[in-house]
This record gives sequence, C-alpha cells and structure tokens, in this order.
Amino acid sequence: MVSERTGRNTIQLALALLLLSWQGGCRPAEPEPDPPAEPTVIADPVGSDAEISKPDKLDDAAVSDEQVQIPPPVDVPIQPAPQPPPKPEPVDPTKLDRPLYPLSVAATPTGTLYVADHHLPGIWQVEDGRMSLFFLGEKKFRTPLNAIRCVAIDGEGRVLAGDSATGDVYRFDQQGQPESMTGRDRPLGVITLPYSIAIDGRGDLLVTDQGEGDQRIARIPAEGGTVELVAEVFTPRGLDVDSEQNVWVISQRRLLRLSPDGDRETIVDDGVFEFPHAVVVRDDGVAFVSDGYARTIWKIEPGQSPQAWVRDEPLKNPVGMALWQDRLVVADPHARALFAIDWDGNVSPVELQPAGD
Amino acid sequence: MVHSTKDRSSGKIGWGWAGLLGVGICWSLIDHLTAKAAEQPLPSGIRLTDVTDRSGITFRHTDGGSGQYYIMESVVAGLALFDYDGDGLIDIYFLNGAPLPGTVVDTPPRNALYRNNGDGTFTDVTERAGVGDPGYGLGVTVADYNNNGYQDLYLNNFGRNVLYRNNGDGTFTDVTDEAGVGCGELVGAGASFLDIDNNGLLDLYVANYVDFTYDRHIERTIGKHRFHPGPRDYPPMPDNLFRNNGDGTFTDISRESGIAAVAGAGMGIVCFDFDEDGFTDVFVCNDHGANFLFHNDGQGGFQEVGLIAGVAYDFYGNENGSMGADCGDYENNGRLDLFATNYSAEMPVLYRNLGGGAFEDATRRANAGASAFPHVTWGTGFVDFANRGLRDLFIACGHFMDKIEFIDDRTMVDVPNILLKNLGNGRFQDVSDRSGDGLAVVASTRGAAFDDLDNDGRIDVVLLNTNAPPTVLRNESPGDHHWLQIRLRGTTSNRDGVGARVRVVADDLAHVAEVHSGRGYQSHYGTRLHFGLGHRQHVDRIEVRWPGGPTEAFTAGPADRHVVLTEGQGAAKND
Repeated sequence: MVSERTGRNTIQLALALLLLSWQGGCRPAEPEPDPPAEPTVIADPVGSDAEISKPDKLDDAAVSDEQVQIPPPVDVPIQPAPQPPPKPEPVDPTKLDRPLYPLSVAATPTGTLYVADHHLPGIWQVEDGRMSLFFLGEKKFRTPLNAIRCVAIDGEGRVLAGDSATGDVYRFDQQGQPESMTGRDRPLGVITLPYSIAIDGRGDLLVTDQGEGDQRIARIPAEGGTVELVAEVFTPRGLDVDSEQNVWVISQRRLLRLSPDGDRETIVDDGVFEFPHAVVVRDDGVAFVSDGYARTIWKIEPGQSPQAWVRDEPLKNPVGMALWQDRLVVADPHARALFAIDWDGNVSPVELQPAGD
Repeated sequence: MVHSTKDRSSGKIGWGWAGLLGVGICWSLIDHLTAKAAEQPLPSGIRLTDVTDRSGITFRHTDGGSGQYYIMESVVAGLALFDYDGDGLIDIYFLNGAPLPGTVVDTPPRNALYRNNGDGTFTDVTERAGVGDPGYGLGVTVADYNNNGYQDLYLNNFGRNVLYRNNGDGTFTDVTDEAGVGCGELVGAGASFLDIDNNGLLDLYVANYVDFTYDRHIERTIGKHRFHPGPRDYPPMPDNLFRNNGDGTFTDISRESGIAAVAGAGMGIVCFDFDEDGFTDVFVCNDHGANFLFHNDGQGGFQEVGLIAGVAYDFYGNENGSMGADCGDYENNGRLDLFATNYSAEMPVLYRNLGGGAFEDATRRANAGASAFPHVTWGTGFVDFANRGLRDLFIACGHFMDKIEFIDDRTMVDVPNILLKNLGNGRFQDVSDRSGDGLAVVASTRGAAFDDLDNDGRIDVVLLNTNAPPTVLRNESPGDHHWLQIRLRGTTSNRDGVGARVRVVADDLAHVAEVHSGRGYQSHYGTRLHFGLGHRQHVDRIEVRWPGGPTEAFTAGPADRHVVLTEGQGAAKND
C-alpha cells in the first residue's frame, strides 16, 4: 500500500537521521507531518462556468477543449419557497363512523366497551354497537390524554387511561373528567410511557412503563398516590393478572409470568412473536397475545407451544385486546376496527354505529 | 612515525570502511525493522470491523438513474440511526432513490427500516412499520416533535417530503399534509428539528438544494463522456423553516424568520448554539457557495452571519462545495467546533471555535483532512471511537462521476473512507490503514451515522453507499477505557432534549456535547450522547443546560452506563 510505503520511508529517514545525530552529524528535525500539497484548484468541471483546468494527467485523446460542451450558466433569479398546500380540514369527531386509531380496548362486566383512540385523541364508549365520545382530548401536546395509549376498567367499573403525552395514568370521575392517579407534582416522570394497565387482586393498578430509564411494572394504589416498583422489565408492553395473581407481561418479544412471590418465568421466548402488544389470560390459564407485525392472535395453552390462533385478514395490526362477554375483543388501528373473536377462533367485526347518529 | 602514520592512515581507512559497513548494516537492519513495521503498522487503538455480511441487511441503494445524469443522482442520500420501538436498541433507516425518467424497474425501490435484534443482526420491518416511502430520498432527521415519548421521522426528498408520526406500536403514520411540511416538489437536502424559541416545541428546518425540474435538465459533456450538471447550473433555493404550533401542525415562517432572505445550494446541516447565547443556530453546507450560519436571535428571527463568523469560506477565502457537517468539541475546551466535508481537490475544513461567535480554519494546523484532499467527502462525525476522551473524525468519501478518471485520476467513484485520530494536542493523524478492515471497504459513501448498535459502550458506524449495499462497522477497539452514554428527557423542554448542552466532568476531564437532530451528510444519529472517559471509572458531575432553561447539575456515579437524565429531577437513572 502506498501509505505503508510512505510510512516505511519516513521511519527509515528518521532513523538514519538519528544515527547521523548520534555520530555527531546533524540534529534530526522534530518530526512534523508533511503539510498537504498546496491545493490545486480544479474547477468543478460540471458546476463551474470557468474554464476547466486539467489535472496533471489527463487523457488528452479523450478530452479536448473543443469537445468540452458547457452551456453558459443560467441566470435565473432566486425562486421563493413555494407556499404549502392547504391543510386538510380538522376531523369532526361527531361525524366519524369508526375510530381513527384504536390502540386499546377495555370492557365492563356489562359489556360496554371503551376504546383508546390515539389519533383522535380520546376515548370512545361503545354500547350495543353505538359509538359515542366518552372523552375528547386536546390536540395540544402535553395535555392530558393527547397521546392516549391504553384504557382499562377498575374494580368499580371506572375508566382508567394511560397517556404518554403527560406521563400519567388517569381515572375518570362521574362527570367524565380525568383525574391524575399519581397526584403528580411534576410535568413528567412518574409514569413515563404507560403502555398497559391491569388491575390486581387488591384493586391496585399495575402499569407497564416503557420509558427509557423507567422500564418496569409499576403499582399505583387503587385510591391513587405513590407509585411503587413491582418489577423491572425490559421493554414492557401488555400485561394481565390471572386468577392466581400471577402477572403476565410482554417483554420486547417475550412473554413472561411473574408470580406473586417474585419468581419470573419465560413462557414464550424470542423467535415466535414479531411485535407483541397485549396479553389476556383466561380463567383456565390459556393466554392470548396480539402480535401487530405478524397480524396474529397467538394462543398459548398451559405447557404448550404458542399457536397462531387467528392470522391475517381481517386483522391488519392487532394491538389492544380484552375479554368481552366470553370472547375476545381486539382493537386494530390499521383496520380502524374492533374485532370479536369467539373461542373457536371465529372473527367478526364489531358493528359500530356512527357517532352522532 | 611513518609506520605510525601509515598505521594511522591504515587505521583511518579501516575505520572509514568499518563505518560504511556499519552504516550499511544499520541501514539493512533499519530497512528490515521498518519493513516489519510497515507490514504491521502501529495500531491506532481503534478497530472498526466490517460486519455487514452477518448483519442480515439486504438493503441496496439506487440513485434511480438511467444514464441521463440528473443532478440529484450526484448527491443522493443519508440515513438515520434511532430507536424507533423504544427497546433501547438503535435501529437503522436507509434512504433510497426512486426511478427517474427512463428507468424501468421490476420492484420500485423504497426506503428501509431495519430493526435491531440485539444480537448483531437486523430485520427489515419497513412494510410492517409503514415507512417505506418510495420518494427520492435525500435527507432525513429524527426527533419526538409531538413530545409523546416516541421518535418521529422526517424525510427530505426530491419531491414531496414526508413526516412520519410514530404511533408507539411499532408503526408510523404519514401526517405530512396534516402537519403542512410537504414542501412541494423541491430538491431536498438535510433537515433538522430544533427549538428556535425554547418553548419546548421542536420546529423544523428543511434545507433545499437547487431549483431543478426535469424540463431544465442540462446535459454536460466532457470529451465523449456525459457527466452530471453541477449546482451552478441551477438557481439556488432558499431553505424552509417551519414553526411547530404544538397541535400537530406547522407554520412556514421561512420569510418572516429571515431564512428565505438568502439562497444557496443547501446540503448537510447541523443546528447548534455556536455562540452560546442559549439559542440554537443553524449551519448549512452550501455546494459551491458560501456556507450559511444563521444566528438565532431568540425572537424567531435569523440573520446569516457565516462570513462574519468565519465559516462561509475556507482559509483561502474559497467557497467550497460543502457537503456534510458535524460539530463537536475536539479540544475539550468547552466549545463546539465545526467540521465540513467538501468537493474533491478541496480540503475538508475544520472550523475551530474561538469563542465569542468566531471560528478559524484550523484544518492545516490540525492536520485534519490532508488525505481527503483528492476525494469528494460527504458524511462525517466527531466520534470518540476508543473512549479516550478525545473526539476523532470520520470522513466518508466517494465520487459520483462514473468517468471521473478521465478528468481527474487522483480519485475514483469507489474509495476507502478516512479515519482521523485525535492526538489530543490539537492535531489529528490519519489512521485509516491501521484501524481494522472496516476502513478498507471501498465504496462511494454518502451518509455516515454513528451510534452504539450493541450497547457495549463503543460507537459503531453505518454507511450508506451509492448504488451499493450499506456498510456496518462494529467498533471492536481494544482497551479498557470507560464511557458514559446519556439520554435526556425534557419535561418542559422538548422531550428529546434537542439543543440541550451536556457537560461531563470526570476527574481532570471535562467535555461537552449537544443533542442534535439532523447532522453529518443529510443524516441523523446520536440522540443518545456518548462520552469517552479514558481510564476514569467515575463521573463526578453532569451538567445539563436545557434549551432556554437554567443549567441543572446531576450527580453521576460510576462510568460504563447508559443513564437517563430527566429535566427537573437532578438525578441520573440507569437505563
């Protein structure tokens, strides 16, 4: 290599000079890297109106001055930046016939559904297929539920919602207004990125927090208040609590089960799920996992390998999931739909009547 | 006497021959030893290993050309490194070209998102994530513009630009029209999110190249050979600045801000607070024109001060064909210096920050890029590859003229990239030939991006190569040097902490870095700040000057950690 050779010659020269110095000859100069050659100005041959100055070696047979065809520069005045196209009209929620981006769904024991709509932003209430606005958040960033991620129902049937815009979990009062569950006195940092909410046997809230530096399952007392660490979990997403108070949680592309005494078991390891979101555990211990990238609902029977229970159409990106009157209900933001799945794996869309009708 | 004289004479002659013989032996010995040394050059302490083949990445860039030599084929694209799914692993987003008139393809090219699997491999999730924009990609930047905790993606294309909002479920939604940041049918370049008025909302700077349309295409011929037209063949374009309205929409304030008062053939940009007045400024590389430095007055106004600040031209007063830029504190003096790559037969320029808003061209004194002189240089970054507490320089090289040898035989389309080691005395040394096989890769690189792909504390490299597969270089530098990586979380400032300045103090070492969105050659990387600490195992103090806010002190603790610093909490957390 040229550089090696150059280096070799330099070292040779330096050592020779050192030898001469030792013999009483001249003192070697302090090594100084060669300065770069004076830049030879070569006009950009395609970008300049100046003459093209040839480099030292040029294929004269290939190029001659007569052959250089460069049109004169175009003298065009500076163009002003174009005006942007008109922005689309804002969405009127009362005219929507389906959610804009349903990320999460929760069901009350009586069958009412609540749907977190990330792009609205807000929460839909669905009763007997009739869709109505339960809460409409503001478009303004960092306001409550501007980036709603998840909904849940507590033991008293109240609606809970997690919001990454404010990093908080809210419970709705009887007037339908959100109240912070953490009583936070800081703009952000109690629950950084709430991804999913479940209720444990004591009625407390278990929340997966995806925030960088905060990846964990956190507990919020049923009455609200101080947030406690339950377990540190890598990239936690959906979670559920089974009848034996085990906590099932998605951790990146794994499914974990945490026992009440803190034991941690990997139920499904890497290599199965593509982008799992929610987990729902039936009373008989059968777990279901929604997988957005795989367009699949996985079924995991106790002691068995996961099976792709429902796959592809009509699912486009299943994310949210809940038990709903002896079946599953799935929120699919890319299909902009809710799907009901019976225990035989039959999928049917949840018929929605437009809001405002 | 005679005998004696003869003896002395004989002795002189004998001594002379012996001396010559000795010199000869010494020379042979030196030759032998130096030959050995040349075979095994002194290691630089940096080792970048080409791991592309085992990365699982199958992306291949195309410029979309069909032999028409449109101008955008000559500049092409950057790439982005960011964590799109919040799993703490840095993912890769490659821009791609699109078929230009005359090009027929079976499968249209598109951009590509590769998810980091955490085991050295990556999976193409483009379709599933919904970010396969088929436009002609030129520049890209990343930031959480809506402060919801998930990083969003902005593409600066030839043609309609795209804003992808991160849905937080592994997918993105194109919200360009709603946001009003499409920019029409311009030839784009770099882009950056920055908070121009420190109100906690990230605004958007979009550089534009030249006013090209197909009907204004110019055919350039030298000899028998076609070449691309250059930036002076078209009028320059002013750039765009969009104010974030905080509700998902933006307002174009290019004119009222003063950004559109000047026009240049914009390329790579980097936004940083060059004069430390607390407001983020904008440096724009211009191709064959004076570079721009827009000084932010903090009131929504910008004034172009490149000439006054000393970054418009090089030492000789030449306006260069500037391509990409990064800023970093190479002297550990607390000031952010600027490095700009340039066209061939131009030196890249190291603009040393003198303080007080002034820079000097210190390229020659610092030996920062003599070896790059023959080449067109593009992506670049100030990166501490060996965690020594000194920021080295990476320079991506490669020409775009496929027949460049007919007019300049000193360079080629595909050439190796260059690594300059920071010697810690204000000078750099080219160590490209002794820093691992990653520097032997021959390609025509454009975008270069740097981050810790395997979370081992060493910064890796991803390169976008024109009309070729990309290159992934794993940093396997030896040694037991220590490090700290910092992710900021703004609470009243923007969520990513873009524009925040961080100072890390460890024993006798103190150095600074800023969070940038968009840098290098039309690329994005480094949202998570990296600090090499050398032998220091403990960080004494971290100071964060949030955009517009006071400086907040954090107690750090041991080195070799990823930490998250949340505005207002004043305590570092393990990531």
